[in-house]
Amino acid sequence: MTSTDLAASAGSDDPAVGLRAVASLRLLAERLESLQVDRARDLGWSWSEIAAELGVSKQAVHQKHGGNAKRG
Amino acid sequence: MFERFSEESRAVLVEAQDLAVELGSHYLTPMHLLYGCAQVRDETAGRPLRDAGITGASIRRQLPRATERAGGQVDPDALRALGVDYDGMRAAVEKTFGPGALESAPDRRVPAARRRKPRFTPEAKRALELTLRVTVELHDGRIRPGHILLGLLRLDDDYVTGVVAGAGATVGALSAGALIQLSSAA
Repeated sequence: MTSTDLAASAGSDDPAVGLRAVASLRLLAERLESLQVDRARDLGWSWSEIAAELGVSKQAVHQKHGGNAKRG
Repeated sequence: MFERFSEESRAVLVEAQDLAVELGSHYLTPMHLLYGCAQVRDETAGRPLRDAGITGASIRRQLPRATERAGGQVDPDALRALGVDYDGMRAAVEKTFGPGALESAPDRRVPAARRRKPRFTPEAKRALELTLRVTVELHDGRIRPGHILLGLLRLDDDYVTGVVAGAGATVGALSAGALIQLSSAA
């Protein structure tokens, strides 16, 4: 049995595996957001347009990804 | 109380706070205050500490850095257990953003410790109360870094006394040094 099989079989039961999956998803969501926002900006999207797609306020997305944070 | 603080004493608090933030601590402890005393350009605390071989760097080495936030790593096995195909996701992202894009993309969440100012622990508050008391006892109008140092030493905090003992100094000698500096500076 490989570690992958082990993780798969333990998946629904073991809180540790479930919690690590949650943390991984959060981290991936953040990384994807950075990639997508930077690309949209490069393609000329406004902060308002980006914010609308993300479902957050324009201020929030600008504060997080604008200025110094860009490419950071 | 803070209106009685001299400019240098305020700088002690700023240094203490900056260090706590930098180390990811949610709390400002007597150790952070001691670091502040060693960091500022003021001889009333700096001189006796330096004479005892205690510097900002030496205090810093004894302070733990808050552990990195859990979840700093993607766990492909945990995701697979949930039915999420990490390799597939990575391949799809790389099609648009290039090789290694998903691994190297920044996480721009603000670290929790930086969201708010560190709070004074009860011990740190007590140290400042003792600082004020020492200042009154000495009939000094302004609270100077030397007074803060005396307050910290009077607190009898295990970490602070540990730093003093670790440098081969004693609380008594350090206090005497601070008193000399305060009386000559007055």
